[in-house]
Amino acid sequence: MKRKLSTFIFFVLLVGIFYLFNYSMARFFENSYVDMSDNNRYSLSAETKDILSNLKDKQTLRIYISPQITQDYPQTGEYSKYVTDLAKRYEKESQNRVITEIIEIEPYSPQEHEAEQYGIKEFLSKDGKVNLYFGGVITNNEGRYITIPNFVEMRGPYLEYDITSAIKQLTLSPKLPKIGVMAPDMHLLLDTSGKLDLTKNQNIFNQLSNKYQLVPISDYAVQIALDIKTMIVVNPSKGLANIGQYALDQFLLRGGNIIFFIDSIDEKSKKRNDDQKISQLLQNWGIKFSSDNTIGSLEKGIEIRSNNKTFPYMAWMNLDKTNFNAQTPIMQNLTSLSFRAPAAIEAVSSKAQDYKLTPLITISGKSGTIESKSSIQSYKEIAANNFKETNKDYILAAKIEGKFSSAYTENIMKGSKYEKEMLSFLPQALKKGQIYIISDIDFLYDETWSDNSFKNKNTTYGIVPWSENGLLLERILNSLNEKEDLTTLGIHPFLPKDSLGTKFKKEAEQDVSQAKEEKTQQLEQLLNKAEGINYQDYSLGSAKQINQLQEQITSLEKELRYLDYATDKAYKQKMKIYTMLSVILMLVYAGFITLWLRHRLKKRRISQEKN
Amino acid sequence: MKKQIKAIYKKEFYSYFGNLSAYFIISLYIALSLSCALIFGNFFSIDNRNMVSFFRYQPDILAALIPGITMHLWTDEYRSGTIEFLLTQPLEYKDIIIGKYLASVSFSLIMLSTLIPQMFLIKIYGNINWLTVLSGYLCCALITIAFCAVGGLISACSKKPALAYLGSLLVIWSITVITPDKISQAVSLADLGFQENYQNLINGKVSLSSILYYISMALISLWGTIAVINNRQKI
Repeated sequence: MKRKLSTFIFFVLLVGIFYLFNYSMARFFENSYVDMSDNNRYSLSAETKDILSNLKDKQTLRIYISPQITQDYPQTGEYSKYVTDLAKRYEKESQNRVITEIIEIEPYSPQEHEAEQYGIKEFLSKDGKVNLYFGGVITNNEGRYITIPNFVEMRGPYLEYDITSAIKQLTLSPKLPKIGVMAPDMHLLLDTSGKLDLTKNQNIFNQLSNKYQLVPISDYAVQIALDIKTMIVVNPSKGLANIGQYALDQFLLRGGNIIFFIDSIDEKSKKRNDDQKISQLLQNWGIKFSSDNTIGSLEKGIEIRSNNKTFPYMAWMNLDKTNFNAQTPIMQNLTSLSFRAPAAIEAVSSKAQDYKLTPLITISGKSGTIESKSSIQSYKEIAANNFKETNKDYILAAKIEGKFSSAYTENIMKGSKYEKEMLSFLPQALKKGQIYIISDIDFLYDETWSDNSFKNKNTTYGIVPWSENGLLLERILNSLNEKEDLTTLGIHPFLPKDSLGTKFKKEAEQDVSQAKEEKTQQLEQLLNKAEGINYQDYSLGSAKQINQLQEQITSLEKELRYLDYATDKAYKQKMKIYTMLSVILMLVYAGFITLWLRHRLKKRRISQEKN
Repeated sequence: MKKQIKAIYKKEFYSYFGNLSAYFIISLYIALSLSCALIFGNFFSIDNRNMVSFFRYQPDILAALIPGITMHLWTDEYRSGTIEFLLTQPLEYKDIIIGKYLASVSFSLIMLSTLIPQMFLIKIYGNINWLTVLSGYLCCALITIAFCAVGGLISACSKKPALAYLGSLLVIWSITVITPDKISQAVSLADLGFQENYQNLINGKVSLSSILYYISMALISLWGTIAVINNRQKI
């Protein structure tokens, strides 16, 4: 009995030692790890480390989390571990300039009240009885704070970006820099009080709203306020008022910066933008823009579904690193940008002093054009058929800088009642100005770059981008608004998910795609023919013709069904082959090892017998 | 390696291949790994560049098979009465224990290595993230090292192989499922959970504390084995 008790105590002691040792090791080596994950998602980037090392005042990063999340929403629970890991990394890398606090929230506790006061958004537990929380607050010594209402798993690649931007934001003046927004159809972007309506399908403006003060400016404004340093001009070729163009010209000459989103067609509203008035202004800045064609690429075109068919459409492109000018900081470490039927811009001679045009995004090789009037059609297949391969280099975005001269010879409001209120006409620039031009207005639309179905899209931290369009605009603004250290701050992009099953399915579909397309076309022709028959003519000939057609249609439909069946069969066959290969390879490997060891065992026995 | 340990190690290691048990266990491991990955692990429908479908079920598979590898380590000696002979040899207990333990670890690692061809097959058909896969393999190797030690300890405690198998299975399985909870706001034991450390490693977060977790499990179990054998000798 005594022996049994001592054995029991011994084992309890062993378990105790084990847990005690590991508890102290876990505390001691809490932040010591090697990051071998995809895209180094457990590490902070050099840009973040740089910002943290330059922090003068202490900041606190609080993560509010309900422990119940792990049971109720396992996936979010899993993500919460990643968030807390990364948050702790901030504390370590900043050498305690950023203090990380993980606050667990129990229902109806003071912590819950605190989280609510900071604006952390609640969501219901699975049984609907209590509120759960998973958000963060970054505070500084002055009591200012930035709240991330929810950490959204789908926005995981942006986690470091969001936290670092917030930390940086708290080191800057609380007054947000003003950014003017001008568009010919401004009313579409405004709410009833005349403010930019961020709920109107404009994730891009939502994303900027907590870092910049967005000021809508009518294109009938005679001049742009002096406290605005940067203007975003959307779709000027749709018909920007002359006075608006004059205001932009003078704004630039006074040292302002302009970001242009210009396009030959608007895919969303299916309208062409061919107002030529803007051309004079652009030419004066050394840019030529043609609204006749849209640009596409056989390499970068994505697959789209139109009229019940899936096919590659050259003008809708997902561009990658190979298209970006990595020499410019704003393009560094970007991985993907999405364009929909962009136009091309060209550099032309400019009278500006120190004029410089830097291409930011280009496409080359297997590139081509589609006429704008063709691109605008709903039936994208027709547009795709009109693609003309030119293999030329096209510039889709560029940065232009210099001391420009005015496109005007005098104040266009000269003699009017407004002239006295306006600043004097400038024929030459006072300061160097910068223009960024992106030749696609669909670039801004939610459906081009973000998941619009996401329910929390109306908060900056709820936007789920799948392309970095929003990030590029934010980087341009950062570079123009004294936040250069945020310019190259990247994200940890999710690698494209490519399951073997999807690959096999695609391969199987490709094998029969040509035959399927031919049969579908034949079927369409027969159905058109059948529609043209006059069924009131009961002659023997027409009855025979109808019968023949019916037979042909039935036969073709059967063949198409067979092709679907064959595709499915080929797909399953590929999976079977993979499985068989796996089994064979593993067995051969195991057989080889075990036979070799058995052989060694025999040799050992023989040598032992000899001895 | 000490000569005595080497001799024990070789004897034990080759004894696995002296009968059909090695082939049976390795074949079972291949069958379980493949079926878990391909059927339950959604191998064809999820991105497997990190071999997640394979690694997800490894703790369960190893928890079921390693007791089969370690159950004979000591029970055979007890049954055949060779334990007295062995312990009266001019050898230290710990040399015998380490020799036997290393033999079971080597066999288990050979079994684990049958996953290597799968890695190359995935690379041929698609993409693979070598670093994360390496981290996953390291994790499985650490689990193997820890489970073999625990299995050896249970084997040393029992005289019947079946009992040793069931005991090891129960203990190892308990280790894999027990998730220590927090004691208070300040003291959280979450880091002490098997799954927590396992998930960190297969996701590519290779922390020293996770590695030490498995190594300490092995060392403490070996210490326990030494104490158990020592105790039996005294009796």
